[in-house]
Amino acid sequence: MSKKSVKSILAISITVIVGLMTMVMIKSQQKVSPLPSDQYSYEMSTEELLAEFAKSELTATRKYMDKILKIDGIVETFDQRGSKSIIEFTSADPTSSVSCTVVSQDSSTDLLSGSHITVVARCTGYLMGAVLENGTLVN
Amino acid sequence: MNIIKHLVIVLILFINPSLKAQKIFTKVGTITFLSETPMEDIHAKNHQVVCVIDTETGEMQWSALIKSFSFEKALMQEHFNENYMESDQYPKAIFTGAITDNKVNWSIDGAYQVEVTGKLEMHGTTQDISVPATITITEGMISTSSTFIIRPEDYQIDIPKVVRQNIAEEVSITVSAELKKL
Repeated sequence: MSKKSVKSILAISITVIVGLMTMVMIKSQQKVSPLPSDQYSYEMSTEELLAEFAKSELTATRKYMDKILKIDGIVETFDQRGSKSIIEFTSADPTSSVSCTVVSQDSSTDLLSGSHITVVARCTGYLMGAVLENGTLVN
Repeated sequence: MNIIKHLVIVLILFINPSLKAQKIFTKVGTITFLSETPMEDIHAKNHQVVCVIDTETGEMQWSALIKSFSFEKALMQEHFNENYMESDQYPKAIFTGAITDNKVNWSIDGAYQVEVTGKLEMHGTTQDISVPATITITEGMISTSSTFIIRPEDYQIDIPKVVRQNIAEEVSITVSAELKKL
């Protein structure tokens, strides 16, 4: 193999390695980004979501876990916690309701109790109600 | 006859306070954890923690969804769920316990230092734990908090050798909640 070929292979290898390392570095530093409001798997009201969990928690968990949902409901409480806010939605059953965290840029304005809102968020399971995370408010 | 029956039930409820609702709860408690090493600090928060306390007996339960812990960096969150906590297989962490020697007077304002003992179930493993906690009562508002240490190793959470220097052997956990009547 000629010197030129060896140099070329070496140069390509170094470029690939540096490229891969850069990609790993970039990926490891990427922050959790807010969800786009127009990409979701299911759309429903908070009461419809709760009805499915009430019917079968196991089936609903399998269906919705890690899925992006577009949910509309009425705000019961709105609580600012550092860079996030937590919305609890009203529910006919006080022991089971939908709650959702939303990122700060979407919650700079306090939501009033009784407001009808729509959020796009990721479902993380069920604990005395459906739990949604990393939500984005939809206008 | 029905009227008499209802009257008796109402009288019993008023005379025997132990039959009144004594449970307080929240669905939006907070758990934070912090892993500190010379290489890096890793912290995560979960703001959707359920806590129910029976003020009569001092019994309590805390439940959290593992996937509700949020990290600053997406890759950390992914590794936490997929590699360490295996959250698809073990989706919840649950503490069930009680205040040891419950001397909290829930109707009098104050900051009560208590010890809470019980079982922490996480990652398919259950361990007995005993932790200090503070219960604060201010004008009828009840809040509670506690900071304690757990070892991932005790819950069969395997840390690969390649990242062992990045993850502490002892992780600091802080829980807090403001509770209301159930």
